[in-house]
Amino acid sequence: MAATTTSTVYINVIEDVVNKVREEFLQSGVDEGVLSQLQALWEHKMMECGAICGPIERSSLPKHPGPGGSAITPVHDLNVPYEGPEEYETPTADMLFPPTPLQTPIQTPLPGTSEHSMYHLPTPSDYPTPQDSGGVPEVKPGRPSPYMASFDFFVVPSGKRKREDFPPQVPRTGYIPQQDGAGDATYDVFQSENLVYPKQSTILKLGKGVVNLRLGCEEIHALKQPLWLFFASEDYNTVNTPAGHELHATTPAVAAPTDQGGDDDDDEPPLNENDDDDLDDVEGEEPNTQHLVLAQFDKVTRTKSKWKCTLKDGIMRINSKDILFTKATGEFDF
Amino acid sequence: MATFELYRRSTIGMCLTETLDEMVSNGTLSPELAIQVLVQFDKSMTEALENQVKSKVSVKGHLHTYRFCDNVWTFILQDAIFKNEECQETVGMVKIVACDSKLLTQ
Amino acid sequence: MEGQVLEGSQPVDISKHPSGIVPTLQNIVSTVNLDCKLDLKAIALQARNAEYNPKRFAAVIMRIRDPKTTALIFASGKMVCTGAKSEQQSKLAARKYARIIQKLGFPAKFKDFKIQNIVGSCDVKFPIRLEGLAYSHGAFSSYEPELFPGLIYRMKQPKIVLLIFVSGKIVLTGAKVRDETYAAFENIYPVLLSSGKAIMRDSSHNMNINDNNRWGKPEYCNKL
Repeated sequence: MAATTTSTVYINVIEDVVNKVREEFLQSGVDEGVLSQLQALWEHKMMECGAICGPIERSSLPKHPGPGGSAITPVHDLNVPYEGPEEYETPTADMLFPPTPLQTPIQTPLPGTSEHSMYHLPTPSDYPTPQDSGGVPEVKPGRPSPYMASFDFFVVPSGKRKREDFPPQVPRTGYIPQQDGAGDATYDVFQSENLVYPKQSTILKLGKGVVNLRLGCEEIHALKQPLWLFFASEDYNTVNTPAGHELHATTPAVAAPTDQGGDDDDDEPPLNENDDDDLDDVEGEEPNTQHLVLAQFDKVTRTKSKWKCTLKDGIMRINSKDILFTKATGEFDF
Repeated sequence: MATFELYRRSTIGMCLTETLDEMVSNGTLSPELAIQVLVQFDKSMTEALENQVKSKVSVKGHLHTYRFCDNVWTFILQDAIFKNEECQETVGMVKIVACDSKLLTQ
Repeated sequence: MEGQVLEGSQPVDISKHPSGIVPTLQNIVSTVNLDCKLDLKAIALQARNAEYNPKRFAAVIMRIRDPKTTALIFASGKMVCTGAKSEQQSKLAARKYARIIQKLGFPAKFKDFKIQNIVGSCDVKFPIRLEGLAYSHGAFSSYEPELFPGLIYRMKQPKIVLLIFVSGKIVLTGAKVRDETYAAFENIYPVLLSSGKAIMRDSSHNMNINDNNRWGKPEYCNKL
């Protein structure tokens, strides 16, 4: 079966996940309604950020086991350790989607699952137009923060405000311009800045839209991380590094002072800011770095500065649009 | 079936993660089940990409930064052009994160 | 301008380069000791343009664009810098890598920087009979066209290896200082002239007044 649109594939995936975890939910003694709540909330968020287009047409009936299926009140198997709430609170539509004046709930056409009728799938018109996602969607009180808000860096304003705390002549790298020719004097400044503002510096860079690579690999294994972390800076010209790297980041101050030049046999000057590699100046780059491609690579090759790669099974978020691919070829020049 | 957690960072994965997060924090769902759901998502998403997607894409751009670590390639492209059968998109900067496909077939 | 000719637009010091040809430096390999233990994975995760695949190679491979070079960075703190086109560029690049490492939080120093190898190349612009050269300089030459199309000439003084191709292209490697590269070329040039294939006929068609590579050739022909 070839799904034509990203939306269709997403709907299929949601349905597939829900169907395949149902058994485990029931075995864990969790009410089927919780699963329905999960599906409704997930679909709701997807519509809200424009990744799926409603109304959802079910390609198949939910596969409910046995007669009566989920209508059976689940019995908590006492042999199975379960640390969830002892009292099962039946979810209500209000719990799912605290009512807002905009909402005109419609019944979800889920045949055979009468209790599902308490969950309301909103129509697309109930939500901000997904195509508007270039702007920051307003966060409705009492509602989960819309996904796109993360992508649009709602932390940036605070970052900008913090930025003004620094003297305006402080360049992007965080260095205080050398005034007197004594390079080592600046290290004290970095160090104290670094200790005082470890997190702010990250946010500060965020505002400039520098893409984070530092978390590149580890973040994949993270179950969940605030999205803005993915876009923090990895600029190695910056001594200010995010919290958690402070210890590392302060070390250069110890390593660099001029009096350490003595251990070199030759008259090699100690490493200093003149050795900084400033070619990769990210100033003036487009701050819009939320475009993301997630894929698997088959092959990556390089010849001189020409890179070629073949990717497969990818999900792209480009210009606020989700695009899926089975194969991709890349040609990059470094 | 081996899977990557990579796709959890996609729109659909992030929406699911947020959903689970909310349900775990209000006590509706146990963290263990939430993880089960994510693991199932990893599988379902991978299968869907393999079986339901036919589109082919080409990407060109200036390689601003690359990294290979832990069998993951990360590319930051500047002025990238994405083309597929239907459309062409240009972006000033894009991040590509790619896991080694061989790790799934092993 | 006495004692100088122009190669390209650069004046050539004829006392140093009697052939009138100055080999171009193509690659400088240098090493330096950062004198601290390094966490390669931390480096690979934090630095830009780094590759780290410990299963295949026990070093981080890092690149910078200016000077366009590649560094191999080992956990011991030893570093190899390749790709620079001059000794100064190699050192500058090595210092930049060291600085990057330092900024990632390692107490990197810059100890025992050393140029390990200089690779140069040039083109004598006339074809060379490699069989003849292999015969006349058998003690230094190894020529097995079925294995490698060039003649490998192991010069003793200076200790430089030359790859000599039929086309007249020459690669010189093994120098620690560029003067060794230059001296090796000046040593081999007369030999090449004598092994040239019908020198005048084959090369005269593209000879022109500005082609200084051939400057002085008749003189050396006469000497031989």
